[in-house]
Amino acid sequence: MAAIQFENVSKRYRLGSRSSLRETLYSLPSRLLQRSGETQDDSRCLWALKDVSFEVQQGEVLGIIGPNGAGKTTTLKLLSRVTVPTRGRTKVRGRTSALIELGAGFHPDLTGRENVYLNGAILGLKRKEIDARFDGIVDFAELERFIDTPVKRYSSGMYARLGFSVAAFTDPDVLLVDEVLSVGDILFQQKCLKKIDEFKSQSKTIVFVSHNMGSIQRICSRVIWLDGGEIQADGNPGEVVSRYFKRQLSKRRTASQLAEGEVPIRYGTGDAEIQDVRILNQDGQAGEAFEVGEDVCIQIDYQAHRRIAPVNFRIVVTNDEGLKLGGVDFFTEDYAGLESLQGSGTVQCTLQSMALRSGAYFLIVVIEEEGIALDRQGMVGPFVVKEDRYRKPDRYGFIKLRGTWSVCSSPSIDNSLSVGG
Amino acid sequence: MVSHIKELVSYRELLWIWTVRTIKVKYKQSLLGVAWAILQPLSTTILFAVIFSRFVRVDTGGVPYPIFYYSALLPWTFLSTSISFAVPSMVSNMKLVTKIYFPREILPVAAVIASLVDFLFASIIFAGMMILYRMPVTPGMLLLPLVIAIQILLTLGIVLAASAVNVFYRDVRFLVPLGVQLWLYLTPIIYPVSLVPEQWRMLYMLNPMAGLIDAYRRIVLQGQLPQWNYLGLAVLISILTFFAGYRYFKHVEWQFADII
Repeated sequence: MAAIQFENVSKRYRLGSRSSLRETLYSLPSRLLQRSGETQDDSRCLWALKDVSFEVQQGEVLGIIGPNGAGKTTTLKLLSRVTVPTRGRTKVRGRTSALIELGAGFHPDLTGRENVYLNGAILGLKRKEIDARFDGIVDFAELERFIDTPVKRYSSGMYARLGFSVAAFTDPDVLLVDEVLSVGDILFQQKCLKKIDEFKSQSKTIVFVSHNMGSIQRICSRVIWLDGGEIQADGNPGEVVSRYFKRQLSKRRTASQLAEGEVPIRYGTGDAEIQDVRILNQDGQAGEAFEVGEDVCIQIDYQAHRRIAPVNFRIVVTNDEGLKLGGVDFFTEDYAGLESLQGSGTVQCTLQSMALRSGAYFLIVVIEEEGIALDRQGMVGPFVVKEDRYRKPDRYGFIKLRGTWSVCSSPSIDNSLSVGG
Repeated sequence: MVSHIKELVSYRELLWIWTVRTIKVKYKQSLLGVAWAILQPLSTTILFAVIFSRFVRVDTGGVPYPIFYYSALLPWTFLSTSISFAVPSMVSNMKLVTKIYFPREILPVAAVIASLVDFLFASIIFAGMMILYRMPVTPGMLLLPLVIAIQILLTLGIVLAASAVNVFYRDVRFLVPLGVQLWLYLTPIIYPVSLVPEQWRMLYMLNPMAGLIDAYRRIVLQGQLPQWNYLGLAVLISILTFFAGYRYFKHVEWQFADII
């Protein structure tokens, strides 16, 4: 029995402001004379979802990704019954708790305490049940001092904490989470992810909307990519995320106008050019998704228009937001002897036992001569590192560090363990 | 319809919380608090008593004018405060309506219950007035809960429809007080039913509040049973209004979150 069913769902919104009674009465004669099947003309309508169908089994954690305006929040609103489909049907089994657009169904004039009881009642809990959970909720949200202040005075972080706390502690069968994690600080995000892990182990169903590909990959067992109201891809997180990025990038590259001050993705003197960059796995196959700790081989085809000396190649790995994580230079590593560049050819760099955790990454590839960039290309890729199935989900950022542990206090025990952190 | 009521019952905890909150808000808003529920009708009573006892004579059937007026004013106030609190309730709580699901009728229904509580308090004051004026207690008063129940149905029907329409057309909020005021004059509150000429009487009674007010007066002031043709008409119209209003509300309910 599927926990969530979306059958041929389409959702239409009307644009523009609602008319007043006066306006409607004035326009009545002309509207009566109009003869139409569909009374809406297209320019005043927006189809947020177009014939979308999917099913979610109980215990699945579904991630929904897509650009702004894709229909992700509309999907959650339909699942939480805040609105209904224009066409098609939705079905959700069990008690549903939703955090949509940071809102949790809190009334701004009520205090935190009153809102907890209000929300609890909306979700179907009896007063006694709410009493029992109240302290736990306030504790998780870390809002003891502010619980009797009206919620309209809360910061967005406090709001999100309370919202998530109430949603989590009311023991729903289905949890719908929309971007709430983006508002809290790192500690709060960790707490939330931990709670979501607990839900996973309790076989609850979760639908998770986010722009943070790292969290999506870490938590979700399945990802749907939504764009323009339609499903573009549905399946394995690593693959769907990768395809999504590729599409986003191609959109960016075709945009010839760059905003003021924005660093172009590609620049350089042009005396040498990067013809192609291939990212291969340890078998030499072109790869998009890698295991943690795998060797990643990067091949760069180049074309030099004159003799370049001294030449340096650089590869820098960045996360999906462009944060530089680490890099290697041809110049300082052992190489097969290439001080100057002429004509065309291929160089290769193997990043050994790549110490990157699950997530989506890009490369910046540079050919330079004495510090001057001849061709610098950013946002190459993406390539994706898959979730490590044998380890607990990571909490420690992008890099996998190696550390050696030993017990110091007890001289009789000498356990030296060499572990990957 | 039955399933809607069942759903409403399952959300009774929420209805309770919201009603309590509405009552608190009502009294926070007025400086005088609970006293307002009593002072407001009392002041108009005094005003009209002076006008209609001294300057303009109306046939109150031998009852002192304040009692005559107040007995009708109380149920009317229940209706008008229900309307004024319930009609904007959806729009003023939009943050809730757009973010989380619950049966939306809880908002206007809570307003009606809150007004009912006022009604009951004011009735206690009225009972005091009755004792003061040495009005007799009669067995007909056992019918009062029935009349009140009919009025509740009527009020709910109006309020559900009006609060829904208010979401679509915001200017309804401004038309409503005007409408209620006019309706007041079409109802035998300031004047007795006997003032209405016989040939217009049945048409006049199409106003369900007229039938209900007349019933209240006959029971409370004259110790008589209500006039069944008038009351019957009022009951019929009230029940129809309730069903029509509730059905309309549920029919358009899903649009609220898209529009607000």
